[in-house]
Amino acid sequence: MVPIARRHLLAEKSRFALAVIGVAVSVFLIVLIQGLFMGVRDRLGATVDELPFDLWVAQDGTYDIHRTTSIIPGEYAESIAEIPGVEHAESILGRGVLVRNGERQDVEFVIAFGSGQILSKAGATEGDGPAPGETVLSTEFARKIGAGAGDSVLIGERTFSVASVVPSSFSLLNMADAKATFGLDDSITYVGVTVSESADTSLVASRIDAQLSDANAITKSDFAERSKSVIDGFTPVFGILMAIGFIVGATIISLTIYTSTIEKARDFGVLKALGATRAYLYRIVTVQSFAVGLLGFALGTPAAYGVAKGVAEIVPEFATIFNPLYIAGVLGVVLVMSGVSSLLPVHRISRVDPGTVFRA
Amino acid sequence: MERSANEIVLDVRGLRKTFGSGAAKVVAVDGIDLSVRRGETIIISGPSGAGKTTLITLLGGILTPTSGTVRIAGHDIGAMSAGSSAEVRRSKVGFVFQTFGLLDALTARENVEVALNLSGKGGARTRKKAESLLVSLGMEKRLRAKPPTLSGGEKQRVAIARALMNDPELILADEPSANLDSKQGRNVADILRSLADAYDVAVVVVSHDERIYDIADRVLWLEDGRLTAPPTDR
Repeated sequence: MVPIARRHLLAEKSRFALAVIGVAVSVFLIVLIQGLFMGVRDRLGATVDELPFDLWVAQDGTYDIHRTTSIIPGEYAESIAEIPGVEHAESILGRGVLVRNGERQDVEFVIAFGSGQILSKAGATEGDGPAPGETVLSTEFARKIGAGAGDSVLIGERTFSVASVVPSSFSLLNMADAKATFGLDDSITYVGVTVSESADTSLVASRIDAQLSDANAITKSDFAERSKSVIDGFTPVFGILMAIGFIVGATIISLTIYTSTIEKARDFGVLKALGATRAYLYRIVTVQSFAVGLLGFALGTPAAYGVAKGVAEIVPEFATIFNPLYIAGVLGVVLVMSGVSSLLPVHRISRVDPGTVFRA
Repeated sequence: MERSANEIVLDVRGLRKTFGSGAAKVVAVDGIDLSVRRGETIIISGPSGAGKTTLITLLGGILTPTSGTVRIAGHDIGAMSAGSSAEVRRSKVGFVFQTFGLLDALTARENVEVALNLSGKGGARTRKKAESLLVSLGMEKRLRAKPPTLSGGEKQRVAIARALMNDPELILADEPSANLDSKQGRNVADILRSLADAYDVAVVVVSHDERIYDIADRVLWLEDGRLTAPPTDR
């Protein structure tokens, strides 16, 4: 079949290139905004995800790690450790606090573990936690306030020496230092529970709930998800931004194909006079529409990925997650965008009078 | 389907077309009867504004008659829906336009192929047929040329090849030599004449060019929307 759609599209190469770039920018924005939303969302639950506990025991009424505060008696870890199915119960004292390094300051989530170890996702200790008077800063936070190993920083009103900098979503203090800094002598904020391999996590959770009158056990996945949901209130905002991207992309495709259709109105008149079906004519403009859309997607998506990774090298807070399912969703949006964009040119073609080809 | 010689391919009865209404009503075609047989070439001539273009668009099913019938190979295209009359045009009618009607973005061969693409046919066979038609019209060296690089005569030969591509029963040519010099115009006229015999089709040419009257079996005169014999003083 003669590729009329392709020929019309490439008749003005500059216009075609600009249209593809325009759609690519639109797709770039949609993918980046989506990736940023998912990345920031994921970061909000990073502390819970990173730590190896199957259950988080918190004061009744605690919803997540950001918006609600939990204070429970320090001895809860010992009593929880006795419950059948509990392999390990770790006292956790963690909260957000202002950390200063000279003129630079920011809020960081600082944690102290009862065992004094640095705990990792895999469940194995990574080493000893900070000694009294020391702090271990997360790499990202250290960069933010310009601190490094050997520097002195103020956590709350107390001065600590930076023992090391580690890749983590939180910074660390010694338990005794944390209690003194936060003014909590006998209290902690959470107990992190590791469930035995052979035990049922939900059963262990109910046993903990039954034992403690003013605290309850939350599964890791629930606690992480609740913590991530902090940003969900901004979903409409992100949705609006993505919708704007969609409208811009659709407008670009529509304008490009529409102007091309007007320029080629005589060609469409000839084809109509020769007996072309509506489907044949509409296919010409819809193919063009989808070509611009899909090429824009093919350019914009990897561009978003590349830029995100590049920026994250310089600004680690620029966290993005590109989920293949969501990218497929963006592709679906592009297809809809392309389809919608072809409606105006299709309408224009339907009004082309084949009789015009008989006029000189 | 076998074509029988002398079969009436185009049969027009009481054809009438008016535009507007009331005081602004214009009668463009006023009760035309016309029959054209297979292998016959006719020319419809007339003064400017006589309704020749309106008539040819009615004969091709592009305009709907106000009254009367237009039958092409037995199909009353005037009574058909737009989709059905388009199907008849695709399969039974070849058009040659005054302004050639070629798509500038396509090569000469592709312009000819398009006639069958409209019916969903494509591929190597279509390409070969297009090439063969163009070669038969002396366009063997210009298969890949695009219309802007073709002369008027070459463009019209491409248009004629396109008109033949769907094995039509009727060819409608609207002022085929109008935009050509006398030599090219003559050449195109001779080609149109040869089509009737060579391809067993009925050929209807709308033209005010007296120099090509000799190609026709009949010359009809359209004036005030009616067909008559040409005036003897012409």
